[in-house]
Amino acid sequence: MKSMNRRKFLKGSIGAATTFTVLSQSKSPAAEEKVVLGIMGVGGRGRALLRSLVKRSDVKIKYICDADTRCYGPAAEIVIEGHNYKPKFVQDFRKMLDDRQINAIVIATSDRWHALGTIMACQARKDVYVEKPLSLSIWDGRKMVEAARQYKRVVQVGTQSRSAPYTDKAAEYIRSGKLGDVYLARVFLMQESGPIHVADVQPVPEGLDYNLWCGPSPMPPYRPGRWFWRLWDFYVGYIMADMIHQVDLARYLIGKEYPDTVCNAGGVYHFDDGREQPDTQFATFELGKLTLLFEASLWSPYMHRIVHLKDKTRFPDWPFSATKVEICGTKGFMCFGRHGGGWQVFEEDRNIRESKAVVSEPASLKFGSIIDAHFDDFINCIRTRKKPKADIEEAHLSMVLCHLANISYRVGNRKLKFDGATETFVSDAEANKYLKANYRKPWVIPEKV
Amino acid sequence: MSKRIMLLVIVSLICSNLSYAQWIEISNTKVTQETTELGGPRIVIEYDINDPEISKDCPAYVFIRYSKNSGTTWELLPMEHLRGNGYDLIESPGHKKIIWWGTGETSFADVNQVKVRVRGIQMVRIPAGKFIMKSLPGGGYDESKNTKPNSNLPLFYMAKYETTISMYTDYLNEIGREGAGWNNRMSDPAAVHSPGRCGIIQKGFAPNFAYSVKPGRENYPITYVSWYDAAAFLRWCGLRLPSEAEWEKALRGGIYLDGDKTKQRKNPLPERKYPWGNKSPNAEGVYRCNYDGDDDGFPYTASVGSFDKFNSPYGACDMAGNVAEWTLDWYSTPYHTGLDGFRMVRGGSWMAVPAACDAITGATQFPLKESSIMGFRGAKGPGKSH
Repeated sequence: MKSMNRRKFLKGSIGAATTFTVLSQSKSPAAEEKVVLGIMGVGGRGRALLRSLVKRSDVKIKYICDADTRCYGPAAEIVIEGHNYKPKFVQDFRKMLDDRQINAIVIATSDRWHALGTIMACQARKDVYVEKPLSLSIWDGRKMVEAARQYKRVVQVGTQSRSAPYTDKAAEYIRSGKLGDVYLARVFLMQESGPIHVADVQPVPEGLDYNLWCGPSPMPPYRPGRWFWRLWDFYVGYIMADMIHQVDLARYLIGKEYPDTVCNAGGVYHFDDGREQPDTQFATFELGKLTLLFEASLWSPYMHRIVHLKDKTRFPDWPFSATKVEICGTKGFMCFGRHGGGWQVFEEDRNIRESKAVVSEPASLKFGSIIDAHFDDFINCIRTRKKPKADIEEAHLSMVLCHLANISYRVGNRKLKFDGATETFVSDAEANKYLKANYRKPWVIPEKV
Repeated sequence: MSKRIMLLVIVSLICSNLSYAQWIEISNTKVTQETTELGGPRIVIEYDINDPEISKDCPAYVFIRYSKNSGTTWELLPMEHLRGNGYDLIESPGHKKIIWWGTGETSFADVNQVKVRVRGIQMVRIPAGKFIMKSLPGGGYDESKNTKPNSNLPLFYMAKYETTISMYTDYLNEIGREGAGWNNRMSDPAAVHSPGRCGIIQKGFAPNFAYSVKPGRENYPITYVSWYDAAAFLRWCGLRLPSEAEWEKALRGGIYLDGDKTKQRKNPLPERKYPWGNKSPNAEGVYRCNYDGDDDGFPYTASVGSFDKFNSPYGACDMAGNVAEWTLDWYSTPYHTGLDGFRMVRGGSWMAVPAACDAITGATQFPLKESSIMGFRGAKGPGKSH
């Protein structure tokens, strides 16, 4: 089938329960061949990923793609400086999907494109790296998993803390029973944040395909800035968009999947900027005999994110660590720090009736090294067809917890029962309404991917 | 564009000329030391500045640097120690005289050890008043700002041209003997994978590095400068980077081009997209700035002022394309308040699509980033500095 026909087919597939048969069958590159990539979304995050990718000699960045053509220059410059060639620029990502040479798509757009972009890339037989937060709804995430499995694609998610070398050791410590029985885990995102400014309505700038930029979300009149971060139709809220890293780490450490119940507390207490998502969240999950707590706030200047400690032998000041995970076992208490925090385990010293650190593993990582390691895993999996450490289903299961807390909030902070087998709430029509996001035609995720 | 000349002046009246493009030509410099009865010793600096472009709307910013140890180290002469008509903003050409009233500085034991350098930068005047701000500075959130960007700016001045390679080389020869301010990507303009490099040649060894410019590269904009490099250069001059609001107003013009005090010259296009108006950079087969590709005649950077028919309403050149320009503003999102340390660049570049060379498009950059597509220009006005 010719390229143009294939593209038309892709366009036609949107919103339709289409059975895909003949598509670009990009085979996995041999070990000596470069992995050919296209990157979708080259704003700040996309350029950060490009900076990591151009360190690699085993990839070729054939395309950079953005609905906003104005993003081209700063992104192209990274590729030229790092790889000594000029990548092609396309505004519509479907042109990349048409290219049989492309092995994988890196999706670093805003969140509203993560699900449909991943699904369409899988349909076009491309492997996918997709940024977090994975999805706008639980249903989106499940369809992403289905697409990955149906088309036998490697889909890695940007929850890169799983690739930190010390993460496995901490997980193994818990699995070996050294922490005792684990009945309580706490996940934090407590930090200072700011109001979301909303500029006046303006004409759409030249060079921006605003329709494509909004994609599956509504298309209100254009404004510059990050106004859309305030709205459920575009965003899961800053708390969950960032806390997903710690949530995913906690789930990796405790090895659990679905909760039986969720109950959120909190609201929009601090900011008066029209945001729909809470700035204060305290969510409780029951996972059998384990209780998982989320503690999140966006107005806490005394809490500090760990952004790679300068002194690699040190640990965060745990009480004031904004992005920590605490695992409480019957023998020991683990503090685990995101992005460069390392981990420690404390046990009671009965002789002096104090808790003492019995394990202390600092991170000793350079800034950016975790994302480099994450791409190591991605490229390796593209060649070997193994599941990446941050496989789409693992990321989906973590994201489910974030969505559940949000849905509990949206129905009035009610306690909800959840059935993991069907990924639906038990006998709760009001909560079930929020399982699926709103989509704007033609960017509708099909029932059958 | 004619080359500008900066004169190196030695107090003992031994003068030597150094040719550095884009400094305003200053000639016949004479320096004398006098003793006064009541005010103590003083130094008198006289020079001629004859550029006919110098006017109230297009003044020269003149700054003086001096060395007390035969040029080993240099300092910016504080403006508050000066009197006369030849320093800071000069609004008319002609013979200028500066009296350097000092306390300690002007009673040099050995005047033969003293060197003085007078340099001038072409500026444009941006009168006080309202303009239409369309972008959200700092990407929409900066903890040091109010909710609404300030669209009523006080009087300020901005460099007419982007800082050139030769100006930066002059700076390096003063402060870069140990290598500060220089990186090897500034070096070779013939590098295959990055022909936009500057062509600044470093010779010798620390602490005696010396720098020169590959002939022909003098008037091109300096690139591969980090935000810190740009800020340091401008501190050296006594200037600062423009804020995003200042940058946008300098491109678009105020509602009144003569300012809100007089309101005589209404801006015909106060919401213009580009410095010249609303036509795209390549509309009707006319190339108005240096953007991606070589249709405009420049596959990489262009020498500054190459598109001087398409200046901003105040006469600032190359605000669209050529090199993206560092600004003073942080980029911060509600996510990571002040944590990421990004800075904003504005103005598109030789690698930008035409639409990105407009008044509102910006990009976030790590301040340590040294890029072939990023340079800077100076500003002078009230408000914060680096």
